[in-house]
Amino acid sequence: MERVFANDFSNLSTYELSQSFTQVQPNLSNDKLDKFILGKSFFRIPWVEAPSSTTARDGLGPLFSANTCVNCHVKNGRGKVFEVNNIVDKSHVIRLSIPLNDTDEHQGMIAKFGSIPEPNYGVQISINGVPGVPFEAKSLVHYSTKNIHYSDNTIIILQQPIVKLEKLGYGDLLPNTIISARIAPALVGLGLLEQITDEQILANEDINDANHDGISGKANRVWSEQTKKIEIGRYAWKASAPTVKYQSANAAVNDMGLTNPIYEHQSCTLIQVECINSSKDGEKHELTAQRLNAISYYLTHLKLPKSIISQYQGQRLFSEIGCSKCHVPSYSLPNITIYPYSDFLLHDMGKDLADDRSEFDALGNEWRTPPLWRLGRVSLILKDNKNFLHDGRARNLEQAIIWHGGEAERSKTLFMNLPVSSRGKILQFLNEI
Amino acid sequence: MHDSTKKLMISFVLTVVIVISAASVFLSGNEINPLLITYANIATINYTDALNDAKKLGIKLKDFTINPTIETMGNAKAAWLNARESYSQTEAFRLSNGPIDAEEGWHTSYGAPEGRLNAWPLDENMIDYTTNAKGRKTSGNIIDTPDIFNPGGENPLVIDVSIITSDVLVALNENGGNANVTTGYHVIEFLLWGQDQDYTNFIKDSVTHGALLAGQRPLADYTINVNADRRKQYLNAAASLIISDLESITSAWADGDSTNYKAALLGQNSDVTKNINVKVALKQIFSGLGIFIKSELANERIAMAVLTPSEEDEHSCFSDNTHRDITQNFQGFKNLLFGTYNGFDYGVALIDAMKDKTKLMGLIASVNTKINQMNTLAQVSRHFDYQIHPNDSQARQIKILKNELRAIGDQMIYVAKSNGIDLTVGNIMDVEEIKL
Repeated sequence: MERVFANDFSNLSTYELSQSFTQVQPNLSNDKLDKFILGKSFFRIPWVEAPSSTTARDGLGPLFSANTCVNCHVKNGRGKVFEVNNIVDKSHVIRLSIPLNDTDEHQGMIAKFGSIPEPNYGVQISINGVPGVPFEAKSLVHYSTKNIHYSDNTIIILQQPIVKLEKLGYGDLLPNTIISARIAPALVGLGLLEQITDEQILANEDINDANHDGISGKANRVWSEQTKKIEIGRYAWKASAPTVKYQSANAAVNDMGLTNPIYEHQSCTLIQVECINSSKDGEKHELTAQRLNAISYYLTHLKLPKSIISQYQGQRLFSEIGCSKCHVPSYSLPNITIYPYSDFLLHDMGKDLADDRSEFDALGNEWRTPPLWRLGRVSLILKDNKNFLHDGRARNLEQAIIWHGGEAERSKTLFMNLPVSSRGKILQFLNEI
Repeated sequence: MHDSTKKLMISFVLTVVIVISAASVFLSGNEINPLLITYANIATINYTDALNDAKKLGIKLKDFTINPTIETMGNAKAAWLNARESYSQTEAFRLSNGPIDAEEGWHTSYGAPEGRLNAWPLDENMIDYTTNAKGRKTSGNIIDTPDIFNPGGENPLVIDVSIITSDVLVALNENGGNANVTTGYHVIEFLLWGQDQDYTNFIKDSVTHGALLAGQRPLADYTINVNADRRKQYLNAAASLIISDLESITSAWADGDSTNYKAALLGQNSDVTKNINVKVALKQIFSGLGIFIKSELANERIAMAVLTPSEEDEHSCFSDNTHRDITQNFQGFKNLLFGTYNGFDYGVALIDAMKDKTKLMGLIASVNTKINQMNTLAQVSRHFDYQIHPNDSQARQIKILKNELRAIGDQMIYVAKSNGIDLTVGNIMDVEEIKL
C-alpha cells in the first residue's frame, strides 16, 4: 500500500472527497469497465413493483425498506440513524430474532439462517410495502445519556439508544423479541478484503485465550446459501456474510424484496397474506444471476482511496495500548500489502454494546472487529454523518472507543488514562488510516 | 439510468467566486475568451431551436387531441421525432454546471430542468396501461385513476389527479422515488407510441412488433376509449411543461441580457459576483464534455443497452428512435469541439489549439462510420433494439462504438491541456450521484 505523507486532505476538493468511495479502479480494460459500469448501474437503478410493464426493473417488494442500493449506501459511505426531524433513516435497519430453544426446529434454523426470526415479522422490519401490502413498522430511536469521566475530570456524554417500533402492521411482536439496530457499513476496499485467505484470518484465532492476553478472537463459521457449505464469515457487523456476493444477495432480498439466485423466496411470514399473494407474480430471480454478479463486481472493483498517515506517535500508541491486537493492521496479499486494521474475528465487547442477537457462532455480546481503514474519509463523504458503531450510537471516534468493553476493556482503560495530547494523537491517526 | 438522477458538482466551481472591479478589462468587451463566445453562441441557437421544435410539437399535439385521426397522430409523432433532433444536441451542454442541470449556485433559479425534460427509463405502468410480463393488462395508473392517485414507492404523497395539469405532473414526478417519472419527452413518447419490447432472451418481454416497427398504440385510446380525454389532458400538460422549461433555459442563454447565465459565462454580467472565471468556465466545459461522451453516452446509454441487453435500457424505447438520440448526442459534442452548428462556423473552437489531432480525428471518423451504419440499418433493416441483440452482427459494432466513445472522452484531457486547462481522468468519469 502506497503511503502518502500529508496531514490533511487539503489537496482534494470537497467534491473529490465526497466521491472517495465511488471511483473505479484505474486501468481496467474495456471489458472489465463494462462489468463495473453494469454493476454500478444495477446498484443505482430504482426498482419498481412487479409485475410491471417490463421485467428489466421490476420485482421491488412486496415488503421493502428502499428501492435502490444507493439509498442506504449513499456515495458508498456509511449509513446514519436519522434523516431530518428525527425521522429514522432507511439505512438504519431493525433486525429481529427470538431466543433460541433446544428444539430441532430452532437448531435447524440456527444452522441455516444463523438466528431465529420473529414468527410474524421475520428477520428484518420492512418500512415500506407495495400498494396493497401493509408495511411492517416504522422505528423510533431515543437516547438516554450517561456521563463518563476521564481521570482529569473531563466528561464525555454517551448516548445509549432505545429503539421502539410503532405502527406495527401485523400485530404485536412476541414479548421476548430481540430488536437489533444496524446501520449500513461503508463500502471500502471490499475486493481487497475478499483476497485475504481464510488461513490468514484463522491464524489470529484464539478461542480459548491460550496466550492469556484476555482476548479470544473467534471466526464466525456460517452457512453459505451460495456454496451450500460452512464458510468463514468476514463481512457484516457479526461476520455473518462470507463474500460480497452473498451479502449483496442478502441485502437484495431483505432490504428491497428482490429474490435472487441465492435467496429464491420472498421473506413473507405465514400471517402476511398480502405479501404472499403479491409475491406470486414475481419472477423466481428478480435480481438475476447476471445482475447480482455485476453488483458484486462493481463493489469489489471500487478504488480504495489513499491513506495519509503522518501521526506516527498515534500509530505507536494505538499499538502500545493493545488496539492492534484485534484491529490487526496489515495483511500480505499476492501483489500488495493492505492495511485494513481488523482481524475479522468475533470478540465479546461487553454488556453495554451487546444486542443479545446471535448470528451463527456470534453470541449476543460478540461483534466482528470492524476494519478501520479510511475512517477519516468516511466522515468526509457525508458531512453530517456522525454515526459510529453498529447502530450509529457514537457521535465521534472518541465515543466509539469509550463504548468498547469486554475484551477491549483493558485497552479502553489504557486509552482513557493517557494524557489528553496522546489521546488526540490516536484519534488523529484513526482519521488518517 | 435516470437522467433525472444525474448530478454534477464540480467543486472548483463552488469555491471560486471572482469579484471583478468595475474597471475590469472584462467589461471592455474586447477581452472575452473566444472559445467561450463560440460555445455560448451555439448554446443560444441550439436551445432556441429546441424550444421552437418543442412549440411545434405542442401545436401538433393540440391538433391531434382536438381531432384524433391516424393522420393527426402521425403528425404528432413526426413532430416529436423532429423535436428530439435539436434537443438531443443540447445534451452536450449538460454536466458542465450550466443552467440545464446545475446543482448549486444562483443559476439553479432556471430550474435545472434536465431531469424533468429527459428522464428515462420510465415506470410506464404508473402512467397508463401496459401489458405486463404475464401478458395481462395493468391498471391502477394515472390515466385510469379518476380521483386520488397513490404513486407507490417510498413515502409517496397521494395526489388529486381528477384533472391532469402541468402542476399535477410536477407533483407526481419522482414522488415515491426517482423511478416514478411523469414528465418530459419520454412520457409523451409513451403516450403516442405505447410499449415496444422486442425480444425474448435475457428478459422475457413479449410485446413485439417486429424489426422495423415501434410501439403500436391504437388510435382508439384517444377516441372511443373511456380514458381518451385524460390521455389528451396528459399529452397537452406534458408538452406545456417541456415548453416552459425550455423557455427558462433559453432565457439563460439569450443575447442582450446582462443579468443572465450567458452574460456570466462571458464575464459580462452586470452583477460581477456572478461572473465565472475563464479557467473555471473552460474546465467545467471540458470535463462536462468528457463526462457526457464517456460516462453518459458510452456507458449509461450504449453500454447498458447492448450489454444487458435490455430494451428498457435503450433511450427511446417506445418510438425506436434511439439511433437518433445517439447520433444527435454525438453531433452535439462535435458542434462544441469544432465550433460549428448546422453547418455554420461559429468561430474559434475547442480543438483548434490541439497540435496533434491525429488520434482524436481517427476516433471521430471511426465513430462516424459506425453511427452512419447504425442509422442506415435502423431505416432499412432493423431498429436499434434488434441491433443490440446478442446474436446480431451489429452488437459487436455497437460495443466497439462504445469503446471508441470512451477513448474520445479520455482525449478531452489532451484537448483541455492544449487550451491550458488541466483535467485528470477523474474529471471525466463517474461523477454522477443519485439525488436523495
